[in-house]
Amino acid sequence: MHASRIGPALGAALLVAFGLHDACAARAVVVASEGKAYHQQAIAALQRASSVPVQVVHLPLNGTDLTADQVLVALGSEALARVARLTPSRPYVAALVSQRTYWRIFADRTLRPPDATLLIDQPLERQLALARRLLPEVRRVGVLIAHDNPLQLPSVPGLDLIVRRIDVDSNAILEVKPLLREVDALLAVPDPVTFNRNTIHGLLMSAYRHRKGVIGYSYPLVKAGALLSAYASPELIGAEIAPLIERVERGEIGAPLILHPQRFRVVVNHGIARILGVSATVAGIEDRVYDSIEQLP
Amino acid sequence: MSLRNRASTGAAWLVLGTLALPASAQELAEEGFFGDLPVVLSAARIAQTTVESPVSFSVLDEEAIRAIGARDVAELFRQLPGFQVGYFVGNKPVVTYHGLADQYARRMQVLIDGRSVYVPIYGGVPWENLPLVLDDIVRIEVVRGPNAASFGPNSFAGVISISTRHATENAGALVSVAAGDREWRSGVVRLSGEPDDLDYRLSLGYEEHEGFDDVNDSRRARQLTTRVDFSMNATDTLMFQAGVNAARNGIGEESDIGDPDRAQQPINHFRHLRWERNLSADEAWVVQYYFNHYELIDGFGIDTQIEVPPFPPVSATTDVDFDAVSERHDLEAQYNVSPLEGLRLVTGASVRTDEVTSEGFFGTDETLSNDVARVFGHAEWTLAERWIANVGAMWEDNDISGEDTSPKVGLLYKLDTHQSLRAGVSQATRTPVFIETRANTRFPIATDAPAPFDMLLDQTLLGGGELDPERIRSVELGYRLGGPDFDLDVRLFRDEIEDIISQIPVAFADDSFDGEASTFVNRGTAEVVGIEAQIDTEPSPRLRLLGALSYTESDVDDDDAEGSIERSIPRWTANLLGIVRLSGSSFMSFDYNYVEDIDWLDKRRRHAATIRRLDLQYSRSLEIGGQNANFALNLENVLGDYTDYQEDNVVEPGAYARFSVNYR
Repeated sequence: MHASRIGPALGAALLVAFGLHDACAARAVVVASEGKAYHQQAIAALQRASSVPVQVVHLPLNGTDLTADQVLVALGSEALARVARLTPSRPYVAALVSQRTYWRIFADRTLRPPDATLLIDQPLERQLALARRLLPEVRRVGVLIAHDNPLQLPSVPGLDLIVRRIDVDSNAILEVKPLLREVDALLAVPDPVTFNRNTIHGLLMSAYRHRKGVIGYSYPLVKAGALLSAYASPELIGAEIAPLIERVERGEIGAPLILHPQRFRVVVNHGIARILGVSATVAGIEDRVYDSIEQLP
Repeated sequence: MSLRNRASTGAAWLVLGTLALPASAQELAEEGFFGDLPVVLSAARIAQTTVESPVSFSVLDEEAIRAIGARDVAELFRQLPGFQVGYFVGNKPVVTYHGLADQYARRMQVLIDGRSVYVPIYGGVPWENLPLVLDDIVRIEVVRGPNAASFGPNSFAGVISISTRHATENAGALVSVAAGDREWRSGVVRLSGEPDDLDYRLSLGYEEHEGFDDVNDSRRARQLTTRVDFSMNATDTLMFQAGVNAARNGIGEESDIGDPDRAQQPINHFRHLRWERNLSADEAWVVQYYFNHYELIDGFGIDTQIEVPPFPPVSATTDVDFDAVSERHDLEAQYNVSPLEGLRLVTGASVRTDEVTSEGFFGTDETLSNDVARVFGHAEWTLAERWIANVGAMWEDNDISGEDTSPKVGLLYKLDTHQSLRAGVSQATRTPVFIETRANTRFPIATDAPAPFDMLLDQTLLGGGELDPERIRSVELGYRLGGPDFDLDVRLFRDEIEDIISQIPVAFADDSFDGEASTFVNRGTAEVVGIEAQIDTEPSPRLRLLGALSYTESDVDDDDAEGSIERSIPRWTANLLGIVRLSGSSFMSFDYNYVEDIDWLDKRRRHAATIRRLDLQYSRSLEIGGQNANFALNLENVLGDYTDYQEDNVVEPGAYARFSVNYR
């Protein structure tokens, strides 16, 4: 059952009335959906990295008692949507949510945003800096993005960003073809109008036919056929939640904080790298975790 | 945590209210970052980089295909180095590479989405009757030179690989109509959709024209093709295609009692099922089965007056029946893997059965068959940073010519990331087709005529029996310069073709019409030496040029009396396609084609004069009622008349217009 159908007040009352005492011993309680491997991986990493006991409760929260001295951690979009509607009076943290999900949930201005949110998304500056570093011949980068996508497109020295905005009902595959003729590479951004399960085949095939690399935004997108991407695995994100909990506990955070993952890996599709003649420049960059682009070999 | 990683939200909050996406499938939640996606560019789909390619290949991409402005698929190949496109009659296009062709041009392998469309009965490709809508073609890749090791039997002179659009590339509907001189009219309706993991495309096409002036070569054709792509999971996809093309083609002459004017009805249909398991960019399985059916309905009667003294003259009608059915079943499995860094392997096997039935062509109502089995393998091995070796071979066993092996070896040296030199040696065979070995095309006065009237009116074709397969050995040196907006390929080659199968006249005493028939023999050895160059460049964002040039010197031993085999190989061919992008929504193009005079090797040799042809096109996209529309005007052959294939085929300046609307 979706919390919004119950109403925030009733939902909070139910939580108190049917409390589960297992959660009481912990100083942080992670709220997550059940059954997703990436949630489990993030939770395991959080528990390893945390100096305080971390308890896990799964959705739906029927009867869960979340006492006032615990820090709540909403893990994933479903958990965040639920926890935000509980209007908890104390600070809480959100993680493993996309920027777009965050915007959608808190378009409802009556909801109180988390004190700290750790997004899945890599900053676009990082993806572009990665391209700048590893693809020296790339000067013009194309971006296909919906008109209504509020994502801010950064500028990176040495790269021209050619942006093509399209309507919700546009055919992204038809729109990308003239763009591919103008640019040296395509930057994929999280946008359901452009990159979705129905368009990925056509977009990646079009880029391949034009021999243009796609800078992805996730590990699976690179495995599907994008050239490379910076990404944070669930384990990396989970490990970064622990210090956030401590900062929230200590009351160090004022205005809501929205963060991209600090640490990241790089994934490369070597088949595509070979086609594009960049195998040598991307060799060996997948072996470690980075804190900044400057650490790339 | 550094400040630079702080996500910016200021502007985003201002537009939150506009994020009106339904909070369901449109939402990009964490599943969009961590959930599995289908592997699109797998080992089965990606090839070598341009600079690392061990062969000479040419590409016609979507923009080039549109800019050529062809009325039919065959016309596209004028663009390629060393290619000739002719029209035996207006409804019978012929495509060949380095000549050596009659109207069936049997020395090219043509694949559509991996399916061979070679017709076993005559050989060659029925370009005019392929179930293939021109608007559905998204890319054509052409390997010039023999490549049986990679593409299978009959990849003799070259391989044309045509890719049609994946259904997701066309979501919505397309309506396209075109009309031009020669009473040419064409229409296409295409519907595409992508419900869940299943993508479909359905294309309906119609075409009609009157062909050349004063030649009975009109054409009325309808076709229906469909393609369905189904993503079973992140690694497995199924593709199913089916199609049919049914036509009514004018043929023959009113004054020729042996080939009177009439209408042939070819029917060509196919089914193609392909399963791909794309494990990664380095590993993939492909298993496919297809069935091709080609059928010809054609027949006429010849009224004759038989005089056998001392009997009075007797009238009789000879029934000529050219009905024919040709079928192919093919099952193939292929495995692509990169087991070690720098080593890529492709291995596979296939079994094929070809069956043909035609009492008119073979003098029997029995079905003739040819079973083919083959095993193939190809390895690309990066020996050192700059050196890449390619080794491949195909072993084949078929009922017509027995066992054969086609090897290929190549070595490539990368001068830098944009340039490479390559050397290669390859060998391929062309198995004789049924018409060449088993033809027995004869027309008795009447099947039940009593003696002495049971004479043979005409024996037109006689199979050559135990013919040897044609063999080609090719040596190639190549240079490739590939960059973001520049691609140059230069190829020096020497092809030696042995046991050329030629159609020649032969005396036939029982033939009461002209006393001769024609048959097929292994005759002649050709040595073709030449240089080819192609360039694809964008000197400015508004201009793209695709050029092709080919020069050959050929020498044929044991040629026919006229030297036609040698003369069938053109010395010079050239093409220049220019695309001027006037804006994002409009372009102009020019396409110049030059082919030096050649002979076509039909039973009666045809001499075709030098072709100099220039086509111009203007194309503009516009929005009508919120839908994307496109208008194109084509002026063809603006330099004036030329004769194509034979003297009756006069190509005059022409024009046509095309209008299309894409509905979303």
